[in-house]
Amino acid sequence: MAYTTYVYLILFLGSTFLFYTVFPKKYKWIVLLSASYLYYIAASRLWLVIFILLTTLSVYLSAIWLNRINDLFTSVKKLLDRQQKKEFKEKLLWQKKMVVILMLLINLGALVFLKYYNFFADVLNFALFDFLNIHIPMLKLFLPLGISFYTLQAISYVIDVYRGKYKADRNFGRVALFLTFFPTIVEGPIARYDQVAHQLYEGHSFHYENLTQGTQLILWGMFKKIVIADRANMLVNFVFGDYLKFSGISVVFAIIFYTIQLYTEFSGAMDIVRGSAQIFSVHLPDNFKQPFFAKSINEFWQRWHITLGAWLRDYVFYSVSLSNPFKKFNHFVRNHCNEYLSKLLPATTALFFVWICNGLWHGASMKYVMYGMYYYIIMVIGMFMEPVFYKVKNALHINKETRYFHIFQVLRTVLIVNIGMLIFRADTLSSAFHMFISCFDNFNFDISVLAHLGLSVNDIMVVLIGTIVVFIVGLFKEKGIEIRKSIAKWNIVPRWTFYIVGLFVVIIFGAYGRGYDIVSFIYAQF
Amino acid sequence: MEEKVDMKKHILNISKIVIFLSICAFLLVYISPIFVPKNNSNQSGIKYENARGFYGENKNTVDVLAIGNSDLYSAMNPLQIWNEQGYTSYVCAEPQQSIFAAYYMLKEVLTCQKPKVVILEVDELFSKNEAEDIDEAINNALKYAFPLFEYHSRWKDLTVNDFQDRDPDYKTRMESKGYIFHNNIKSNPDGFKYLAKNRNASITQTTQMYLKKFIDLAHDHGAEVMFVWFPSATTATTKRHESVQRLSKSLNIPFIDFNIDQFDTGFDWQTDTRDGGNHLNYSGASKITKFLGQYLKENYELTDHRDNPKYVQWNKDYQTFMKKNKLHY
Amino acid sequence: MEELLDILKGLKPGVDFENEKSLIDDRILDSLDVMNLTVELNDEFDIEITPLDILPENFQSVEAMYALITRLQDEG
Repeated sequence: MAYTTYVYLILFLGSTFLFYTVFPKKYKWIVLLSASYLYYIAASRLWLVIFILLTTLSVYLSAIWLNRINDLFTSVKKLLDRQQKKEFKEKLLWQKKMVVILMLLINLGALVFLKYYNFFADVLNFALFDFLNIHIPMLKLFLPLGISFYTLQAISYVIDVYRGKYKADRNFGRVALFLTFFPTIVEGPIARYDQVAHQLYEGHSFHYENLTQGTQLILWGMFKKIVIADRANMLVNFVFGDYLKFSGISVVFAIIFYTIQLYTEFSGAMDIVRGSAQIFSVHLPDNFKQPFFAKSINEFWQRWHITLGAWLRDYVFYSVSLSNPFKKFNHFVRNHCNEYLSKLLPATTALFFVWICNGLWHGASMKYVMYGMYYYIIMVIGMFMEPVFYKVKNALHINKETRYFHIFQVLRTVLIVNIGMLIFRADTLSSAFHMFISCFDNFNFDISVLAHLGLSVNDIMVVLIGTIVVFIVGLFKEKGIEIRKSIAKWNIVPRWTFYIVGLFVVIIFGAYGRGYDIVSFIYAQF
Repeated sequence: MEEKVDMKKHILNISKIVIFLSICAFLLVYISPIFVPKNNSNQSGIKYENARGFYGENKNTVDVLAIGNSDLYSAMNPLQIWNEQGYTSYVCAEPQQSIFAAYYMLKEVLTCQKPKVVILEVDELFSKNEAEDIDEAINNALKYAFPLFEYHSRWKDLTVNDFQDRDPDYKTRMESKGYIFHNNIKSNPDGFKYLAKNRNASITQTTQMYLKKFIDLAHDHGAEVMFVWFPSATTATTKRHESVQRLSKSLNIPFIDFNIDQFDTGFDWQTDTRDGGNHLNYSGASKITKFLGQYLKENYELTDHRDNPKYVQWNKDYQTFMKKNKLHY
Repeated sequence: MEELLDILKGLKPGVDFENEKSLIDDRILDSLDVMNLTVELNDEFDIEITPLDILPENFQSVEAMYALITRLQDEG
């Protein structure tokens, strides 16, 4: 039951909204929770619900357990002197760590086993077979729907309780709803407990503005997904599926189209997701903030798949960099290296973990590991070369604040990102490499070849015009203008005309039905 | 007092939504005719013209109508039945057809034909899951109500004529009567082993609901319904046969399954398939059609029109078809 | 306060730390800088900054950072 289907948009979302509206405030959350489980079963398999239930239960109980330990400390704190307090605290900290480790073993364990078992078995077989003559068997494993997303939400909740950011929730229904909320279960955003759990639970009465604004957001997402992304997909498949046949500008064009496809598809899905939630007056965190306006790779990742980046920062980067072994490493570097290295070595080491996790999260294959490493290496090079760049800029008298320099920075980022997308989309690393090289083969600006890439000139025009529309909307947003809010202030005639035109553009120019393939969401596979 | 104001606001907002949706529905109805193909041919924008040639037959002259997916158009040859038995039939088969599309297809056929027997190829009763079936059902209902959803991609081909002349003129006749000819052989070496395979044999509630609607629609128009399953090594299993068998008993519909019984047709997976077991070739179709034609003749009241001058076109079409495909007749 | 300013200037020369009030929101300090900073602050002030303390509002300005340090010193 993909978010672009009629059954979701008309029947499922529609009836859930009706039930939600007529139920008494106190019980509205039950509608959302039932709908979420119904969605899960309808979109997946009945027995796979076991995994999300197990995660919910383990997370719920371990958070309460952590709370108990915390409470115990506060209740006896006053009776102890400073020394005793410290010892007791150490002891409890150790207990808390055990709880978190147990929780991680269950949840990360399930994720790692189901998602990565075959990958690691394959790697080990490759590495060890010659020496030990053992062979680890491959397994046929089912991946529960949304496991890569809800597991991260679950972990963030327990770790936040561990860190004392908030208290454990005693309401099982609220925790369950937080983890399974149907718009977010397939591809995020990876929300935090303190951002959404209470909104989901509290029950909102009918709110006309949220209903209309949410519906508009869904329509905008549909525009990106079925008018642009699904159309671009045809050209992308045509070239990537048979990449040995193409070179020069055809390959360049296919890569750019894939970047357009992935962005419009993923951000379009997020618009549908956030629109769906807004109908229930629930506001989900943003996952995209005009990523192609970023001036650096670092900034790009603060604007692209924001909730994943934030998760990795809070629970991988800070967990690593503030851990005791890492602190020791940091001191060691400080005492033994010069200032330049002692500043960069710890940072780059901690970042390594972030990017290996980022790569692996996207998929269990060498290709995705390299995808993470690609961005890691670029960032590390950037950090180590910073003094050099600084000198060059000064020597050439480049003013960093001019418009031209900003445009240069943006284009440079777009170029790097496109190469990253190539790694992401190509079947294997070697085909990515082959395609990269073939960009420079027979390169010329003869764009007439584009008409022979599996997409008619008409369709190419629709993709390009659609992309320009998305770009202009982004430009407005960068300037702080929310188009949806400005239009809401218009007079009813132009306003409704605008909405109706939008709806018919999606119906007429959508790449659906006969002659087009149904394209499942790329991020739904992660 | 505040509650009253609130209530008023709610009613205002809800009526706004209703008005907005009505405008959208009105526009859908108004715009759709522009996008509908003006002729029932591939050139005009009909994707599977073979299935739509029934418009081109004289009104109420099709005796037997068959609806189904690609298995059907590969296995049943109406011109052969005409030549052997003398009554007319038409194959409305489209690749990957669903029971939902079949229902609306039947509705469409009944606007211009009055068949005595409606054959449903039951291969299409096995779908993926309930959610996808509901989606398909909504999709087909929308396409039927607002053809824009079906033909929206014609924006590329619209001409001035599409805006001026909104009434379609469906007269194109299909010589082959919906059958699609292939005579290459790619045998299925495993024969009938596929019957033992483990495939999902349940029929969803939504499919069953539309199957009943389909049957009722046929009955309301005085047609009898019959289930047929042509040999298909990629989908049929014994378990699935049993599922359809149960349904056919409870609905009181006759059912012939060529996967389970070949009725001395001499059907052979070595020679009678064109793609290793998915679809039949001409040889397979001939054997199966021969039996089916005879079976229908024996069990239903079907008139022999071969000497009726009104049906002379059928004789011509038969000859053209045989000549075109270099077949002896 | 002076000590803190010295550390900040050593970390990121050329930034007007005295007057900048939204170091995080304006992307003057990124997560790497914050990490390096916490390590130095931990050493220099003998405190333990935990991931929980790493919130944007604690690092937006010198004053905010100073408040964080004082609070952690009191707790310790």
